[in-house]
Amino acid sequence: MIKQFVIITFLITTLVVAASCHGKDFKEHLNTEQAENETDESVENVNHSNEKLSVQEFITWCADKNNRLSKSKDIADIRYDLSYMPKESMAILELRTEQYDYPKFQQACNHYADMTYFNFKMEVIDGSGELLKYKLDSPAQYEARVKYMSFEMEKDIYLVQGKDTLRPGLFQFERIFEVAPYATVMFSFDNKKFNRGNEFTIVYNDKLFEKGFVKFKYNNNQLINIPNISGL
Amino acid sequence: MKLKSILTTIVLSGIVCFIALCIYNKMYHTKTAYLEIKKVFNGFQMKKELEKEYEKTQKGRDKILDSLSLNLKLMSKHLNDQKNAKVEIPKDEIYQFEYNREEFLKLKKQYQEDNAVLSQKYDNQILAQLTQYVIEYGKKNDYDIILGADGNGSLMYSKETYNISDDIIVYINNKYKGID
Repeated sequence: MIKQFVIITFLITTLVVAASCHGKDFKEHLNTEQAENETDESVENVNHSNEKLSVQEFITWCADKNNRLSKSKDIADIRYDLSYMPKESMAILELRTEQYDYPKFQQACNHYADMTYFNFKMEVIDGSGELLKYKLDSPAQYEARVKYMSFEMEKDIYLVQGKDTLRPGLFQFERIFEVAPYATVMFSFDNKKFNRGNEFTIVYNDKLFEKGFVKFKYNNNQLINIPNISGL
Repeated sequence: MKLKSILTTIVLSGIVCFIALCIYNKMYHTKTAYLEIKKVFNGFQMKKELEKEYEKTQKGRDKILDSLSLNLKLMSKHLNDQKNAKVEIPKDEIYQFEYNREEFLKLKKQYQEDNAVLSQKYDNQILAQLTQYVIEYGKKNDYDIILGADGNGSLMYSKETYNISDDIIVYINNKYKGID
């Protein structure tokens, strides 16, 4: 009798506790999640400047979205990827067909030291074929898109820091035709014209697919706290 | 011995009940919330920025129209003065006035159409990004349904605790600003 009573009491208590946990104040639950999100966002950058990585590790590290040099944004059917290219990455790209040695690498790094380079990729999510042929209204529109990417797109990209707006110093559209379902541009900003240590936002006003402003924010020191390359 | 048996039964029953309840919740509970579309739309940073852009463009066009309108008024006054003074009005002045008036009306109509197109374009851009960020918010927070209350009867009643408009506004603005 006592056994049954205890079991029933326990069951009822368990149910009540579980139900109350489940039905807890919705707002409180959301606030907790919000607080968690905010905490994630406000995490200070870990200083990686003393780390030493191999060339391959360095490339992987830069591409890793957790390290926040590469950022991605989906808007409807288009994905935008922006990657900061440290001068070391640019040097690696330049010397990729050659044997690495320190003087050569350092020389290549110095060559890219005055500008901050970004690689910007646009692709159709789950798409195939050439990006510039996506949802074409007419053949003339394709020509207009090529022209836009080659000559006009750079006017729609800018860096915003505080109240200052900076246009790219260099801009290059890499036309790859049908090879891949994305388009890539590389652009760079003069280091003398903005403070790389402070937060800034890269803005692209998308007139190609009419998605409006696409923004990517880099926090304080995000471009500076990156690992070094060892073995060179 | 008896007490141990009772305790084991209690613990096991509790665990089974808890697991069953969790499975039930996971399978049959729908996580739902709603947002006030107008409030979220108006609180969206992109909307504020594009609204400013639109106003700037519209004001620029209005200035051009005002200037043309003033010229037309001056021309009209000049022609009327000549008419009242019973001075013969040169035909080319009348033609010029007519031409300017036609151009003004044409431009006014064109600007009205352009403004409407621009407004529609900005609305589409805002809605595309807003929808995307709300979808991401829903996925991130494991929602099954997020309803949009627009005051037209699509959502007649809900407890205020299910209103996530404020949280959504914070989230979509952070996403729009490109904050990770």
